[in-house]
Amino acid sequence: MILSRRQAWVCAIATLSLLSLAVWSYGWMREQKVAAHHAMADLRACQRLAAEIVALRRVPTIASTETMGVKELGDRIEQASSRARLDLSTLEGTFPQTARRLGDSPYLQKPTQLAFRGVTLSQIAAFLYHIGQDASLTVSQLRLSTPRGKAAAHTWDAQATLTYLIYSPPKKARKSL
Amino acid sequence: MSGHFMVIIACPRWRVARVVDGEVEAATIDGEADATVEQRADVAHQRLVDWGYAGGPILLALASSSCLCATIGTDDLERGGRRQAMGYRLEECLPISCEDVIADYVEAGHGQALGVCAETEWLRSIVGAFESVGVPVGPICPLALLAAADVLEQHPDAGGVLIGDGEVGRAYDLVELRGDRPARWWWHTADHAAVWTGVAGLSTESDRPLRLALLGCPSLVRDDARSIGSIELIETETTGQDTAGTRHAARLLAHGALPWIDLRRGALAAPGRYEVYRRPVLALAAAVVVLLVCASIAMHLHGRQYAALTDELRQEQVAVYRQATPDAGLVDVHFMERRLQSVKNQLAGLGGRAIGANDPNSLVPASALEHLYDVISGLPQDLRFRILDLDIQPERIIVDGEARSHIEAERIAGALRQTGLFEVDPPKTQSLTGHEGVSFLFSAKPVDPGTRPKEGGRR
Repeated sequence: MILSRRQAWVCAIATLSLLSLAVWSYGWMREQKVAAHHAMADLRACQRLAAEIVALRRVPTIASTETMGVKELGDRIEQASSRARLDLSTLEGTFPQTARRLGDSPYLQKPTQLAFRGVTLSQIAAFLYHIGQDASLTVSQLRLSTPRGKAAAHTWDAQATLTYLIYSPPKKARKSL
Repeated sequence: MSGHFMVIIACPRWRVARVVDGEVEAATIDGEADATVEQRADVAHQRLVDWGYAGGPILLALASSSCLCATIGTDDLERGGRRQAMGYRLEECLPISCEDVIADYVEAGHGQALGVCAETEWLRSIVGAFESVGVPVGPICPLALLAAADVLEQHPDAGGVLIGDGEVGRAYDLVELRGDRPARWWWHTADHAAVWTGVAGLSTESDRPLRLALLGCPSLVRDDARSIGSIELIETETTGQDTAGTRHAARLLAHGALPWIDLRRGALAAPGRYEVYRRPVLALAAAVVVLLVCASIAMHLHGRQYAALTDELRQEQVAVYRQATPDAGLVDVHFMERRLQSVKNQLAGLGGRAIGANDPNSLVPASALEHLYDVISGLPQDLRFRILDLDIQPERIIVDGEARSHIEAERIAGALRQTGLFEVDPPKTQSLTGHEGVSFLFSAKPVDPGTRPKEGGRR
């Protein structure tokens, strides 16, 4: 016999142990390699996304993420009327309407109607120009009517609809169990 | 039957023997009486080579004077360590120590075994001397037992063998045979009385006459044997123990059979046929161990390098994330990509690119203010008319007014049509009651901006 039985058992156990150690080491090394590959892939993805975010931040926004508050709208009306030299007493009222979704898009269109009495064409045009300077607000509808009753000449009754977009992706419906 | 050789280790000189064409040839090795074992082995090797020895194991036959023997009881020996137990029994019968001798045993039946031993170091020196000259040693057997085995081969019913050393009669071996095995063995030196006492003792132990073979005994001994009534002499053709022993040795070597007693065992055991592979196998095993250890270390180090690289990449990822979202809180690295994707989607949505539209502004309705400008600037300047109601909607413009005549109402609508900015329907007109003039009502549809005629100047 090349080796005694005891020697053979010791050799076999030692070889098996070392082989197990080698296999475990290989498995651990593979895990680390895979983790490094994933880390590299994640980094590249994050770098790409970061570059896209930087580019998108330069793009003018045409929507907002939430409904414009009453105070904010009031502030804008006040500023625009001040610039247009429009007396706010001519503003008969503001009538916010229900937001509606644009088709299957993630956008909601929120209209708000403004009603004016006895304003000149230049006043209403200037007012609408100033309030529409914000890219997020658009004058989507305008109606000019000759006023009733004893109104000054060259004045109009105006109804303007201001519209702004809200970015609101629809929530994914949960699958029922 | 050439190719099988035997060397008889005897004092004062060794002998070599072989079987050629059925005939035994033996020769005494020349040399000084005080030559060393190595010198004798070298001379023996030369003689063997002269006889055509070309390698292969030889059989060493020991003279009886080199061996000690005893018949021991084996009935109450335990199974485990039987050989060791028989060694202790032999120790009780002989002036030896088990550690100093090589012993072998042959079961003789009736709860007895014949044990034979010889000095270990003496045998080792002889074996080493032959192996150093390139002669491998096979079995090591007492010559007397080889000769007795040859006699038994020819006369299976022999009950004993008396072996002498020729006409000289200096020493005798008496071997009791029981069945096909030796049971007892005596060696006497020139003591005829002791020899015949032993023979007589053997002959009286059985009811039947003892069938005794004489081998190499002088004629005087033969005559004495014939005179004992309880002995039947067996006539053998073999002249002496050398011849008989050599013949049996050749049979053993030729067929690879096991002799009764083989002292090439234990500490003197012949190397196995795989012994030559021992060193390379051990070297290979050591190499495998070293390889596995080195591979494990290398893979572990490699793994640590990958781990360090992973840490580095993750830190860089955190830096990129912080730079892209300075206001956002830190999240786990595995969620950073998803978070950045969410930020990107939101920014794209705020910029009107959420649905992948090339022109985000297509989401924004056309400004009514622009349509107002287009309408006012498109109305004719050379006509008198009054607009009562101007309703500008995203897809349609309705003009309600009064003109002096149907034709002028038509011209008003036509003026707007001619701007190319509107698709104008023919006006509906109606005469006014109570005063001159007509009321008109028409609708216009803003033309797609892409098909509008280019205009110079800013509005």
